[in-house]
This record gives sequence, C-alpha cells and structure tokens, in this order.
Amino acid sequence: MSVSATVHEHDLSELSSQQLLRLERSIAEQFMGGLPWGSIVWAFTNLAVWLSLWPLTLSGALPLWAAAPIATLNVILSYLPSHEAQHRIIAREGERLFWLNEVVGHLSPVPLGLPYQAARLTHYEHHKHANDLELDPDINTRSDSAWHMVVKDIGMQLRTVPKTNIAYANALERLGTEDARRAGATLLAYALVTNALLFGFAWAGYALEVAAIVWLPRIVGGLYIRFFLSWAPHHPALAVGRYRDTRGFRSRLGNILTMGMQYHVIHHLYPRMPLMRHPAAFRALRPILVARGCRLDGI
Amino acid sequence: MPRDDVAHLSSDGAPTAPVSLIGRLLTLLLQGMPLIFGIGFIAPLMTQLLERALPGAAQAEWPLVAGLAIGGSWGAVANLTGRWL
Repeated sequence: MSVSATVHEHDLSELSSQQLLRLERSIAEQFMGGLPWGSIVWAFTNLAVWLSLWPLTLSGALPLWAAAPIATLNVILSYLPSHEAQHRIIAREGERLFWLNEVVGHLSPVPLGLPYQAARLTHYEHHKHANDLELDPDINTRSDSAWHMVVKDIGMQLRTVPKTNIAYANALERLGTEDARRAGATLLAYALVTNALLFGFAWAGYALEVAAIVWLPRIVGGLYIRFFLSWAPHHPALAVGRYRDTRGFRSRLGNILTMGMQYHVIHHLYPRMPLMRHPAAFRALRPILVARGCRLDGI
Repeated sequence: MPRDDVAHLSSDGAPTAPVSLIGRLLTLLLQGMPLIFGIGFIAPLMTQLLERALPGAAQAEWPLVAGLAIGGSWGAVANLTGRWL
C-alpha cells in the first residue's frame, strides 16, 4: 500500500487531533532511519574541494576570480551536513557510527568557521523556541520581505559585533550548562584563530588570496545561508507552535539551490528525518499539513 | 584569592564572579578587535590591492604606508562607532 493511499483512505476531517497525529507519525516513520550517505559524501567532498583551494590559490595555479565563487559555494554547502549531525541523524550517542556523526558535525562547517557544539546547542534552542522574539537565536532574520531581509542582514553584518553573534552568545549563556560554557569558549577560540590565520596569511603577502577563499565567501555565503535556511522557511516568523512556526514555500530557484528548504516544515516536525527524504515525506504528509493549517506557499 | 583574580561589584553593589587575568585580556582583545582587524587584515589587503593595480608601485614603500593608514583609520573608526560603514 502506498503512503499516499494511506492518507487518502481516511477522511481527515473525521479524525480527532490525536488520531491525526498518530497517522502523521506512522507516515513520517517510513522516512526515518538509515544512514544518510548523500550528506556524508557531500560533507567530505565539499571540505576536500575547499581545502584544495588553499594550495591552488596560494600557488597562483587557480586565479582569484575562479577561487572566490568556488569557495563561496563551499561555504554555502558546508552547513547542512553538520546540521544532519547536530540532530544525530547519522548516528545517536552510543550507536556504532556516532564517531562518524561527530566527525561530520565538526569538519563539515570548517569553511563557514562555525564550531559544531555551539551550532548544535543554539540550533536546539531555535527548534525549542522557533519565532520567539526573546528566545529564538535565529529571530534576527525576521523581515517583511526578501529584499528587506537582505538589506537588514547587510546592515547587521556591518556592525563590528553582529546581532546574530550576540544572539548565539546569549543563547549559550542562558543555557548555562558546562557544555554551553565550553561551546561559548570554542566559539571565541574559533573567531580568534580565524582572525590570526587571516592576519598571518595577509601579512605574508597572501591577503587577496585569503580574502578570496575565506573572508568574502563567508560574507556572501553567510547571507545566502541565513536567507534560505532561516528567513525563507520561517517567513513571516510571526506565529509559534508545531504547525505554525515554519512554512513550505516554492522558490523560483528550485529545491537544490534552496538546499531543500522548501520542505523545511517537515524538518521542524521531524528533526531526525534525513534532509534528502524531505520532499517525498512532504508529498506523503501534505494532506495532513493542510488539515493542520500549515502555511504552504505555492508548494 | 589568586593574584590574577579581581573581585567585582555589579551595578547594585552585589559581588559578582571574579574575572581572571586571561578573561580581562580577552575582553581587551575583543574590544580592540576592529582596530586589530584593520591593521591585521585590511592594511595588507589594501597594500596588495594597490600593488596589483599599480605594478610600478610594487617595489615602493608608499603602498604599505597607504595600506596601514587606510586599514588603521578604518579600524579605529569602526572601533569607535561599532560599525564598519
């Protein structure tokens, strides 16, 4: 029996909220589990390409005009495999491949300069408090429109201490656990080491090269990530609640260029479902999402 | 109390956690980061840009002086205003 047949067999309006939830979970269950090989290969390939840019660019074998867009793409692609690890999708603690989960989690976001534990703890806070003005560390991307988001984000990043960084630091401080304190210290260490590397290479005569493979890509890629991974799937970010704090949307850029975020509503409902199964799960669950009043903008 | 620890009072007069020497140095470092970034990264970036744009200037001293002036003053202004632009 196909999944869609399972949904259509029921007249959803006749089901109680609990029955609807049970049906939703039974369908979602079919898309859970398994090793997300795609994300693992993605993580290591992307990191290998970014690392290879260093000798190629510093030796002059690869021109800066080619290195900068490749590095920007690497930065954009570096977050999501770590995101899979943050949710323990590759393996949970105590499982045989948990080490692989942690390796992907730590190594994948290196081009972005984001330490894994800080990303994981603040991202859990985002899930727990999505769209909460005080408690959601990602709420700063909330804007009236796409253009407003871009302009507002550039304005924020031009501050010497961007509001996004302050929100992450505040979230870790609020948590107050030993893990959070360690994550905060690692966040600080990452920033200092990154700057030390930039200064060292720049004064050694490679300022343009590190600007092309680290500095500019993080500015442009960071904006792209915040736009498609934070603003777009939560817009207008006014409501809270399981079926209200995230939306489905159709982008003219399609699913690949939006990095699967058109179906982000599925991720907030089932955070441990692998990213690459979101489109199929969305199609199977769509009637239930409609019955729940989820915002599905054109998808 | 260790020598590098200092007792602090909050605004309401209540004692807060002592701040270590490393903590104070880190705070100073972060407070001055825009200026340090201006000199540490923007200055050599400007120098290299000038040398690439004007090949005749590659052996001269002035691109470095100009780079330091631009990077240093940009970083100092950013430090004072809290904004890069």
